Amino acid sequence: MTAMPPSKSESPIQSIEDLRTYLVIAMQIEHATIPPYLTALYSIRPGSNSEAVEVIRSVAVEEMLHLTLVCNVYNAIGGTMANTLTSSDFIPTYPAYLPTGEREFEVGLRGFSPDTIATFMQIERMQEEAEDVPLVVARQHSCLGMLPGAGEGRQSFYSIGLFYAEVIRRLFELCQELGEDTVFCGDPAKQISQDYYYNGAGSVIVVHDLATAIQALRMIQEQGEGAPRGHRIYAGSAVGDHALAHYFRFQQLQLGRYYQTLIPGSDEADAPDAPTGAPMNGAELDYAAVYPIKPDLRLADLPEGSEVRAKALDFQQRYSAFLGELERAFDGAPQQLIPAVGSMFRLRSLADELVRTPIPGQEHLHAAPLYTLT
Amino acid sequence: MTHRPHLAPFLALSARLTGFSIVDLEGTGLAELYHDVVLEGLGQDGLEALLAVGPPGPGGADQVPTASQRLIRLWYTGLWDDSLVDPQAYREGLLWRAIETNPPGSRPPGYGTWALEPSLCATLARGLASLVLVLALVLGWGGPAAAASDADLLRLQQANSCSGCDLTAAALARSDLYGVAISSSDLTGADLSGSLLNDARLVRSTLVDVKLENALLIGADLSGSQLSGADLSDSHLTNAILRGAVLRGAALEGADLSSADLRKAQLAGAHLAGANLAGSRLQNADLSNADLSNADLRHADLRQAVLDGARLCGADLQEALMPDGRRADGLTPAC
Repeated sequence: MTAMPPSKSESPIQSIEDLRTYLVIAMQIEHATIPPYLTALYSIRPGSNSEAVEVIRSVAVEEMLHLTLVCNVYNAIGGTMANTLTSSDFIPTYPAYLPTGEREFEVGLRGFSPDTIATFMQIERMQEEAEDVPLVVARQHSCLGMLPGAGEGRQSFYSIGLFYAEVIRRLFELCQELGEDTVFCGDPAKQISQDYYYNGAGSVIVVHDLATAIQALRMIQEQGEGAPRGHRIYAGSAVGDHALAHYFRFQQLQLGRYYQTLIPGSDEADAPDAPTGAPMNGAELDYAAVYPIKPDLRLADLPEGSEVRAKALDFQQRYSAFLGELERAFDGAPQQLIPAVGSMFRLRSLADELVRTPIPGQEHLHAAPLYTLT
Repeated sequence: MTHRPHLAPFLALSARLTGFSIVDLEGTGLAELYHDVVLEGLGQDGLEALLAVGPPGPGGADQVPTASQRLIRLWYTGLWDDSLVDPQAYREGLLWRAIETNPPGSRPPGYGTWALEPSLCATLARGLASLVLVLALVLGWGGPAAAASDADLLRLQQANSCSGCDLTAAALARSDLYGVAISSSDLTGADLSGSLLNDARLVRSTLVDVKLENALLIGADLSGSQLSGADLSDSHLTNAILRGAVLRGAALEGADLSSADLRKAQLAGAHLAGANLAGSRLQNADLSNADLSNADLRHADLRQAVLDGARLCGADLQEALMPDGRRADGLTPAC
C-alpha cells in the first residue's frame, strides 16, 4: 500500500483518556435532550394529544436508555463516574446548543408546539448522502477534536449519530493500537444489566469488548435516526416490531400522518418524508391543548417568597439529588438504579403541578420544572 | 556437492514455461532450490514425467498439466502450493521483472516511481509462456494475484470513496472504513478481515473471495454485490442490506446477520452453521444446499425461499415464516 497511514496527531481522540472524555460529552448530549423533551411532554394538558404524548414519552425514555448505554461503555473502558452527572457543567443552560458542537440550532425548554417539534427533529436529524458520498471524512482530513483546548477549531458533528461514528472509529483504532484487553479494562461489576434496567425501551447491553461496545453505540445511533444506508426509517431489532426512529416519530406529528414500517401487501417500509399511514385526528394532535408555560424558565422569573418558587426549588433540588443517585448507580451500585427510578417518577408529579401553576404577576404564563444543578 | 541429473532439463523446461532465459533463471540464485522443491513435491517419477511431457502448446490451456502450472507459479511468485519456499523467493519472483517493478517491502522502488504506469507490454511480449501464465490466471488457478491500483487505494484513503476502482487483492485488513462509499468496484481477493465497515456502501461491487472474517459491517449496504466464496465468518452484519447479493458458497459460520435484508440473496451452498439470522428477511432467497445447522432463525421471514437440500438440524425456527407462508411449528429439526 502506498498511502500514508492515518496521522495520529490529527486524530480527535488519541488515547483512552481522551476517549473517556468523549464519552462524558456523550452523557451530556444524551441528557441534554431529556429536559426539552420532558418539558414539552408535561406541558400537554391531560386527556389531549394522545399520540404526541406517546411519541415524546417513548423518545425521552429511550434517551434514558442511551445515557445508560453510554455509561456502560464508559465504565467498560475504565472511566470514573464520580463528578460526571453531578459536575456543575453537566446540564446546559437552556436555550443551549447541543454538546455535539453543532451551532445551527438551539434547544430550549418550551411547551408543545410545531416549533418545538421542528427543534426535536433537528436534535434527531440524520446526515443523508448520495450513493457515492462517504458518510464520514477520511481520517487525515478530520480537524481538531471537541476536547477542551481545541478552541476555535473545535470539531462539530452534524448529527448525534455522526458523533457516535467518531467514537466508534476511535474505539476501533485504540483496540488496534493497544489491544482489546487493554482498552476494555473496566470493572464488570459496574455494568448495568437487564436485572436493574426495566420499564425502559429496548434492552440494555452489557459492554465488555469492542463488539458489545459498538452494539450499544449502534443502538443509540439507530433509535435516533434510523439507518443512513438504505434510508431506513426504523431501528433494526432482531425480533418483534420495528420501532420507528425518533426523527420519524416526531415527523409524524409535523405531517399529521402515521408512518408504516410495513406497508400492507408489500415487504417495504415507507420512504423517509413520505408516510402513507392514517392521518392523525384532533384527539391525537391538538396544539391548542397545552399549558402556556414560560419558555426557558429561570428561578429568577418566580417571585421571591411565592409558593410556586418554593415548589420549583424543590423540583430543582430533587432533580440534582436524582442525578447523584444515578451517578452512584452507574459507579458500582447498580441496585441503586431501582430507587433512583422511583425518585424519577416522583419528579414527574412535581413537574405536573408546576406546569399547572400560573406565575404570580404573569397570569398568562405558567411555571415549569427547573433543570439546573443545585 | 549434490548431484542433480535433472537440473539442466528442469531449467530448459522452466525457461520455456516462464518466458525467461536460462541465464535469467540461474540469475535468481534459486534454480537448485526450486529443482529440489519440485523433486520433493512431485517425487522422482513426477518430476521425470513433467520433464518428459514438456510444456503445452498454444490453445491447449485446459489440458495444461497441473505440475506445469505449479512450476510457473513457483518461478513467478516463489510459492509452492501455498507456502513461500524461501524468503529470497519473494524478492526473486519473476512477477516483479515481468511487470518491471521492485518487490514492495523488499527492494526500494525509487522516489516517485509509484506514479508510473506498470508496463504490461513487457509481460505480454514474453510470448507463449506468459500466455500460458495469463490463461492459468484467467482459469482461476492460483497464479500471482493482480494487485490493486495504488492510485485507487490512495483515492479511497483520502476521500473515503471510490467508484469503479481496482482494489483487487488490496491489503486492507483491520482498517477503519466506516461509512465508505465504494461502488461498482473490483475487490476480488481483497483482505478486509477485522475491518470497521459499519454503514459502508459497497453496492454493485465484486467481492469474490474477499476476506471479511470478523469484520464489522453493521448497517452496511452490499446490495447486488458479488460475494461468492467470500469469507464472512464471525462477521457482524446486523441490519446489513444484502438484497440480491450473490453469496454462493460463502463462509458465514458464526456471522451475526440479525435483521439483515437478504431478500433474493443467492446463498446456495453457503456455510451458515451457527449464524444468527434472527429477524432476517430471506424472502425469495436461494438457500439450496446451504448449511443452516444450529442457526438462529427466530422470526426470520423465509417466504418463497428455496431450502432444497439445506441442512437445518439444530436450527431455531421459533416464529419463523416458512417458504409456504406458514409459521414454523417451533420444533427444532433433528440432526
